[in-house]
Amino acid sequence: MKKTEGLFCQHAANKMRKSIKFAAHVIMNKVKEFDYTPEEALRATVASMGTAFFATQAGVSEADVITFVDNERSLEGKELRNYLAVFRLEGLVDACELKHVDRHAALDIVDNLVNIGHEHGMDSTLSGGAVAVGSTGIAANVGKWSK
Amino acid sequence: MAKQRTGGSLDRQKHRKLEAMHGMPVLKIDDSYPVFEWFDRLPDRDAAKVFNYVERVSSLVRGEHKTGSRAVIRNTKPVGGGVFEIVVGDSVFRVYFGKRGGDAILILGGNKRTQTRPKGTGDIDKAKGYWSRFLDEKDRGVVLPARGQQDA
Repeated sequence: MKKTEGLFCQHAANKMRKSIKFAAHVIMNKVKEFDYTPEEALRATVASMGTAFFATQAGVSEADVITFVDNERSLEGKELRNYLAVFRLEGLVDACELKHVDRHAALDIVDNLVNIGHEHGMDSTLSGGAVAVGSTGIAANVGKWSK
Repeated sequence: MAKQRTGGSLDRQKHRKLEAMHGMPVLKIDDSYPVFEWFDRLPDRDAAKVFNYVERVSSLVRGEHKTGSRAVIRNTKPVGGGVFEIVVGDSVFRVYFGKRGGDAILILGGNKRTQTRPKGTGDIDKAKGYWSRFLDEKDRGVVLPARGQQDA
């Protein structure tokens, strides 16, 4: 046995850069299992995968991404959705606004929609739009149903 | 005020670099990395779950708490021989690690089915064996690369 070590976080970061779907699941898992907000989950995941790579994917400046990752500013509304769109997770914000059982159901739906979107290799704009519309519509319906 | 923010930012950047240098070491066994091979075979959703659990365990071993650390503590237990087992949430997946020099060193990954096979072929026995070899060779003076170095 040779005495050298690899690094798991670097390996996972490479995997995130190769597979956006894997990165999307990392975000989803943080929200579902560890009760992160979408913004916190996004911040932690972007820090893991690398700010330069994410800035290129999102089409924004790396300086903006760094201030976000360093917790110097919050993302709201359109900008948060724009950042989440890199992972086709725009609908996550709406799902997280729901409470309790509805929230879990809506998160499961977003998770499954992400899987479908990525596996069918849709164009990111088209797929992102579909996920946003789909999950928002479903989340809204679940919300109404609970009332 | 602005100065404070800049200082904080630099501290956090330094912290991020240190975090990246720690990076959760993985044991190399006979020219392969069993953890990486296992991890790369997992579906993305399961791999994401494993990553989030392992990340938290590594932070805890270094004395840092992250959101959700309590759940991870509940799911981590010693299995003997200095080896610990992480039960990854409600899934069937298991990750084995040992503690050395303030780091969690990942040894092996597996699932519930391969956990306790007979005649020493189960994941727990394998992990104990690998860890014991690692400690023996380390005690004989074989030097590990500096923390943060990684094979190409």
